[in-house]
Amino acid sequence: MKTILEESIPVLLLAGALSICAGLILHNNSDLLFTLPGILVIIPSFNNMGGSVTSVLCCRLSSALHMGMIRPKLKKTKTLERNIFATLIIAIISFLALGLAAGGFNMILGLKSIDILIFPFVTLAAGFVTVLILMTVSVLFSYISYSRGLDPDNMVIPVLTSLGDIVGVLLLFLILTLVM
Amino acid sequence: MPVTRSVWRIVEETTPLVIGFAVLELIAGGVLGVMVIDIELLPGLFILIPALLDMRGGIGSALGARLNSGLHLGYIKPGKVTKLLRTNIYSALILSVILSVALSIFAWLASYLSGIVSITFIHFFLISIIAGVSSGVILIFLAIFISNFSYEKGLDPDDVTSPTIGAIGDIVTVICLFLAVKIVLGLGI
Repeated sequence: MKTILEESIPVLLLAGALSICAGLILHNNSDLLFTLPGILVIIPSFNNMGGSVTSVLCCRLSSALHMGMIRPKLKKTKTLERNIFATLIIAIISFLALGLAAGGFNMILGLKSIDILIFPFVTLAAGFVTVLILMTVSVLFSYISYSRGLDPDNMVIPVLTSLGDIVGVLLLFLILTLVM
Repeated sequence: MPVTRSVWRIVEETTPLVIGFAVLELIAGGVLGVMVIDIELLPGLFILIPALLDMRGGIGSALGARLNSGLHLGYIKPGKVTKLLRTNIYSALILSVILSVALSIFAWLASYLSGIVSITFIHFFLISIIAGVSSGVILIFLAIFISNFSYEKGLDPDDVTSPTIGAIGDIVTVICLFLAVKIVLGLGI
């Protein structure tokens, strides 16, 4: 039990501190969230989506590294290229779908939100840039954690999730202010 | 070999899951959207929300992953309370308490340092501990159930188990948060 706690607490505390920063960004945009609560509805999904799209990449890369299919050097390889390309396609489809689903869901709940036709493009634009940034961090992290012998599952994913929250929420509000 | 698969295979396999879990999580977002009137009464509460959601995911998914490897290695038997299972449950409980307290301190500190007019530390503390611990207990049972279920059905732990625990975990957390907010508002502190 001691090892589980010792391994988890520092990472979870770091992740928690990072997520608090994401919370501060939410707080700074409270007025927008109170007038258009429909935006708040996508926050949990939007945050997790960036994280999950890139965590999958990170898992694949670390297994590839462990199986020796990619060398732990930052060189362009076919496997790396393919995985990055796939991640970007998944991101485009998923973020468009999220905006559409959220628009419909808001109509059902009767929550005020931005135009249902604009919503998918807001989530796409914010989501795509988030994924680009997280992907770079994810690739770097899996190489670093591999060469240092850290378990990527325990280290990379919680930090990536929280980092994704900050970058994602920041970009989401940036795009929203541009659109509105 | 999972890595050498063509781009479209990866896209085909992953996209439905990513979208499916996101739609499931819209329920969590929906609860947040509906409780916005209560959040307005507790200025600064937004600071705590992402951290609370991530903490649940972090503890729940990690527990699910450990239970899964325990099941596959035979250290944990489905439907039986073994020593390893008990250790994992206790660790997850202790983690929930420690992190709930830590997050309320972080949230209060963040609002204090950035000069935000917000609720007091007691509010942050009560909401974080009520929401964090109650959702923690529910999530532990959920993680045990889902990892047993996916082990018996032979589902991929990485692709299915952790995201399921994460998504349902968010819904549970938001509902517990809602209750915690109602309790704190009801106490009228």
